[in-house]
Amino acid sequence: MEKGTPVVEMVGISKKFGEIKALENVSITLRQGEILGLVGDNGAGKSTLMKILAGVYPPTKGRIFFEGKEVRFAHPGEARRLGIEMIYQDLALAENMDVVENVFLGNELERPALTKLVKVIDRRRMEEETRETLQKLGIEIASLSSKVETLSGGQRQSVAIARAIRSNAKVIIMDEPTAALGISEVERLLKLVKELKKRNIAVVIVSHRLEDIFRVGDRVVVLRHGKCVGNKKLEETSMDEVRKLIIGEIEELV
Amino acid sequence: MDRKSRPAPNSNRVISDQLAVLPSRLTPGRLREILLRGSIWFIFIGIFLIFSALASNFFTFSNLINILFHSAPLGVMAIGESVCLLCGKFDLSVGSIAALCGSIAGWLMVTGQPAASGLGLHPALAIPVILLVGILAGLFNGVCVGKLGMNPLLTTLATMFTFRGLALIVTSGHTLYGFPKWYRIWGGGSIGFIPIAVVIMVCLYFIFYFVLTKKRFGRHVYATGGNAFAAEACGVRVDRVIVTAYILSGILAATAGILSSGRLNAAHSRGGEGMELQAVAAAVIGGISLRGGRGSLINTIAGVLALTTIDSGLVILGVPSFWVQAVSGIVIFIAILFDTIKTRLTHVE
Repeated sequence: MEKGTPVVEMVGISKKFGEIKALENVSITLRQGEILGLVGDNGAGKSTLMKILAGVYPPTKGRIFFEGKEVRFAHPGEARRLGIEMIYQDLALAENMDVVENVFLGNELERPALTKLVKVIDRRRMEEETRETLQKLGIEIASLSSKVETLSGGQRQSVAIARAIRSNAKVIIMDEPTAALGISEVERLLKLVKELKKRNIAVVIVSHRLEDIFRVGDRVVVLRHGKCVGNKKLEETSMDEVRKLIIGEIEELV
Repeated sequence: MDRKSRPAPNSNRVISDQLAVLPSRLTPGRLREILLRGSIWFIFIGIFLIFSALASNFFTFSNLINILFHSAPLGVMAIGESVCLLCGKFDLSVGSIAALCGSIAGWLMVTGQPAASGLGLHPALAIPVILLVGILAGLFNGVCVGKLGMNPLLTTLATMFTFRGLALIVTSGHTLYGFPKWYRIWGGGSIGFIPIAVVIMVCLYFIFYFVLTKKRFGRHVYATGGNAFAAEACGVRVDRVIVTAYILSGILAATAGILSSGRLNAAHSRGGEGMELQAVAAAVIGGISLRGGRGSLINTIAGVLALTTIDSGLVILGVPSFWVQAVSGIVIFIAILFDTIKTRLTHVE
């Protein structure tokens, strides 16, 4: 018996880019409060699968269910509206804009100006909420009106994380979240992931670093050449086995 | 473990202390940044003072008004160009849209000339039609660039030729003149000593500055220019932002066409030639980046004023007209050189 109700079910997902098959008939289920590690070698299709879930690409074939209902995303905005947030490997920040604007990008708060007909950006409320979110995360950023281009790698990631968790996310996808981080920053991130789990948020970590996934994860899905070759509970597998699945020393079709 | 791992209370205080630093506090670094960002205003004032020193009749109130008056069409056009540039795009067709709109205006309203339609339409009917032409021209550019993903430079280069060709067809290559009073008044009329065209330009700058800085659409323009993928991934409809930017550019170019043909009381297919590049130049020397997402409309107007001041100053000094273009080019060159140095200064951290 697995605990938690499924939030996301991706069934029989295939994706072709021209003649290249990026994904072939991949199915995954994601449950509330579950931390799923998605692993595989370069070009295995991990990011593609997650970008399909985030609404960046439509799948060539296959269906996506969110809380039991079938969904089709024409646009990442539609996925965000349901509560699917993705933190991209390059963080997807507008460097020319400041911290607050990036945290609220695409979700800007508005207030009426003079009349109800004209709405303007509610900068003060956005600043307050950003400050709260960052404080909750224990993140230090000198000024909320610093342009993102002036921030360090870790601070930038904090901004991207703040954006994802500020909205009422139900699913958070992190694409290679630890790749560009220092040791202490990795610790802080893994702590945060556990915190999200407690809040019943489902987290997908796409990573090369098996150590990270084995420290916080519940389950691991292995992709190889666009196919799902492993789907295991962490307590029932070992790092060695997962590594062998990744490089194809063991074949196991799921 | 989890309990201990929460940030220690004193580190929390450090954070809130740092957060308490007011964004508006004026540090020397911030002051330098503000001065550098608004540098075009100093350049404009410098140019103005140089001409005042060289020509005795330059530094007069009426000449100042005159410069503003002559700035109006380019100023209005440069707003639309700035919006496109902030999106990280280009619009090279604005000069042609202005010419097309002026030509259609003449065709609709002028009577007694073979190239005109003879309809003698009232300005109250003709002006909406002209603005609609601007909207449609912008919509076409916007759909090509924003929806189909065509290269903005090449697309608007093609439409630049197309729209000017249409203007040529409309006018059969003739100059149409003798517009009705209620059309001329927008480009050429005055309230007291203030030209109506200047009032329109100033109002449009206020409106668009407000839209770009305070409205959601404006912030999406900056986000699109800064990182289109990020904007898209966050749910901004980047395609719609771009289409809207081009529509605005089109309607503003049409307005510029109304102002200049109204002022001259004449329209022909070659009107506004080269204005698209002046509009780009004004925006860029005003500090709007060609890479998109950076710059302010406040500085675009200074760029426009600087260019017009050079033009009118050289005329007042009696410099032969064929020199004017070369000198304007050199000044733009210096401004861009200055801008490059400025970018280096602000990026050294």
